[in-house]
Amino acid sequence: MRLAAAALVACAALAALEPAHPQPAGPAFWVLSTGLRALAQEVPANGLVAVSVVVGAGPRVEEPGQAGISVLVREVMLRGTVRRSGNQVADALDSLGASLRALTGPDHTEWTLLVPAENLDPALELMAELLIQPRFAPEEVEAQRRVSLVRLRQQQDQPQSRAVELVASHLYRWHPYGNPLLGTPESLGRIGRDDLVRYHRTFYTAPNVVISVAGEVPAPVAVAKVQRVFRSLPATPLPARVRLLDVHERALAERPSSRRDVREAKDTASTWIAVGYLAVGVGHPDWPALRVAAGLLGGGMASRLFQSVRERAGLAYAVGASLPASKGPAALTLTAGVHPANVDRALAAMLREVDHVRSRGPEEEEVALARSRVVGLHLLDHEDLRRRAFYPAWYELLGVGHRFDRRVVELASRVTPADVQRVARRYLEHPVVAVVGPAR
Amino acid sequence: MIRGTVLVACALLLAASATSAGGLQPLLLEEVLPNGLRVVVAPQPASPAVTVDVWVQVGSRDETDELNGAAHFVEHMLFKGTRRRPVGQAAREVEGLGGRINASTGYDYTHYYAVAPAGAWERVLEVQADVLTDPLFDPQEVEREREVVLQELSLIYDTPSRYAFFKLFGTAFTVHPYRRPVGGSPEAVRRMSRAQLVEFYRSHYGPARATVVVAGGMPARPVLERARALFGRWRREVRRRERAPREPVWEGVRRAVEVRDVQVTTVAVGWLGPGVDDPDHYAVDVLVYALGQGRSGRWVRELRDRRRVVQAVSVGYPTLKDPSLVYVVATTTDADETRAESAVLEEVRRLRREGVTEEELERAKVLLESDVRREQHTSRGLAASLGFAATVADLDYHRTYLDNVRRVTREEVLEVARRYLDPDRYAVVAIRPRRSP
Repeated sequence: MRLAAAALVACAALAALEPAHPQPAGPAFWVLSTGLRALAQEVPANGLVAVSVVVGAGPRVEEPGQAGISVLVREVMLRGTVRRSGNQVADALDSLGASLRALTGPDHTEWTLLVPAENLDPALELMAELLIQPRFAPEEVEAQRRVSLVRLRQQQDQPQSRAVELVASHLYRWHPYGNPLLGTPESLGRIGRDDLVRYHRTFYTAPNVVISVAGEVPAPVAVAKVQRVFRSLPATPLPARVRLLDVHERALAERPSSRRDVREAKDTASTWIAVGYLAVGVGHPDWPALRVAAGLLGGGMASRLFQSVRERAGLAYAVGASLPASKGPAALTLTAGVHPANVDRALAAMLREVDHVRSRGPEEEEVALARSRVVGLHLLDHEDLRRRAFYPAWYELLGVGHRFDRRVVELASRVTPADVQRVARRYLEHPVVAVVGPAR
Repeated sequence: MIRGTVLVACALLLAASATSAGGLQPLLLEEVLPNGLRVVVAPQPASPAVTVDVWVQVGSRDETDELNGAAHFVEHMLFKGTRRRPVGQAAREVEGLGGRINASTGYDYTHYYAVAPAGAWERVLEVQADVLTDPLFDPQEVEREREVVLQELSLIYDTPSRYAFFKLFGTAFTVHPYRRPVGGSPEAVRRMSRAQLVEFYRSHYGPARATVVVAGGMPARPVLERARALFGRWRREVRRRERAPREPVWEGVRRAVEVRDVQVTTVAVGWLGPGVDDPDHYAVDVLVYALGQGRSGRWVRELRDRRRVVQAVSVGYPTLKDPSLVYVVATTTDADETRAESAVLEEVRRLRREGVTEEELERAKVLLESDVRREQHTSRGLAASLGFAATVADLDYHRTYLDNVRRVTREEVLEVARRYLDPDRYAVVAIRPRRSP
């Protein structure tokens, strides 16, 4: 597994202000003496600076029975540090005009700050305090537990998120990616304050964190600030037990050998269909072709699903396909929200498009379109300063290196129709199909 | 200025941004063409992207009961082919350039936006001009799209927070067209004929009611020249927008309750606030930020953290042409809305006694200003902010917005709280679980 390797590299203490891999167009990269990896790029941005702290803390590292702990830790961290209450933290952030976004994905938790350049110093100090010295006050743990339980129920009220969650839990079985992000009522009831403290101590460490700055601050200045403010982030390496090996990963998430169907009745106006296929992680050579396959199947208005399910048949408003980037095997998921009477027709149309790509392969023209779309969206996505800071840090954490953020464009540009057909045949064979809506 | 809830043409591309405001001063080129169409060009030299955003003064407020949903239906039909471009071609072209295209409809406006790599500005401008000025309304496509639109309405219904928003407007307004939901009722959408849609388009889409905004890393002068050529030949006389009837002063409480297959209760409470032309709305924007935006909002703290009657709460006030609603939406595990509603009213009474503190005021202003900067740092955000201002007010509104926010005092905030947030006259909507959870 790549994370271990990255942590070792970190031990080679480099001169802090000398970029390890100077790159004129992309961010400069440093590995600091604690093992903390830092990236910085100077970009004109309306007087703003974005700081993205990406931590290897998500379902991937959750222990059995502790589903949801990554999000719970994150939320309790926002409720106070050893020096300030949660309200004081919030007051301070808002007074600086800083917005802080905290999000969790399968492999990571992202803390992204956007702040006017003139307030960067105090905002950075505050962010470091929040990440390094959370208080985990028992009453705040209980308060957050209550809020999380309600969020969980609220999410289950939504047929769309429920369908996607069902696909993940059946597709991944024993693999931690099957853990619902918010946990379950049982796991949330079980996780105690000590678990939170232990989780934080284990994963919020320098070798498990990448920090990236983008905006109106010179790169060397930015990294000097990061180095100073985050110097007390512990240099403790990750314990061996949390490093999921490829071989284990394959055993935990075995590709299904037949189609599986799951239905859940819910008295809603529309029915949601989610179709998931187990694919590969971002570092796998087949990932770029799968990304293009997801795009031509359901990314945008020119895609196959949009054309066949919405434009030609008028069966759905929302229809699409996605393949996230993850360290372990990602799921390529097709989704559609349809009238309950049209479930069978819509599902058949969705599966027909997949079969068509498998059996006859895609047209050159549509692959070209999907490629342009992947490349263009990459560029448009980076217009937002927060995304621009986040992506290289995230790829670095995922083990494919920060430069992957630019390489992904090149890789997608090389995908051919034959590549798409090959990966479709290999991976898009036995789906898990989840349907959530009114009982028939 | 806080843009309200809107319906978007294509759910795949739904963006997160919800707030917008004017105020920063990039160099702007502005021109009104002889046919009445306004062109605004906002260069952002460092941006790799370009946004072409066409704003039209038409929204659900321009509909009748019979035609409720027409503005949104027409928005969908504009993507269904022109004489030069068959169905799907416009989207295919923009996506082939590495861009994306979408549209959204609100109470006061409809806008069509395409974002693409900056070098593609000319092609995108051509596509947008064609889409806006020459739609086919093919009869078969109308029927197909009708199902898609109905399906979109179902998705809103299944999202209690979004549904509660429209339901609150429908409960609060009795006379003003804001009582009709953006998107319409399924019944009206089912009945609407092709001829009615075409007529709706013809009488509302014309150069005098449109603004074309181009923002991003494209060259300014050539863009202006091309926009003149492409949109200058658009000829259609459209009537001026009619004034909507004024909502009379409310008597007492207006209430609507729905029972559903949900586990959590959603409650929304709203008061009639000022419209964009009323200078009070700057103080209301600041008040809303002090109460429920950012992490330090007073009502978030009081209702969620201290009293613990709700698990999530947000406060909003969409900027609209006519008097809009100041509203709170919350979720609670209670079986009904009683506790949450009375806690909100207690907070309202306190607010009317004490107003906000100097600290709360300053924090709200800083937060509001940085939200404006945040939104306007992308071409998409800047274009939306300019187009919105040009459509519901004017470009001066964009230019002076932040100055007006900075001038708001504690006294003014107290005054608007007392004027608009009345604990005895409000509207409330609840979506309750079938059985108590």
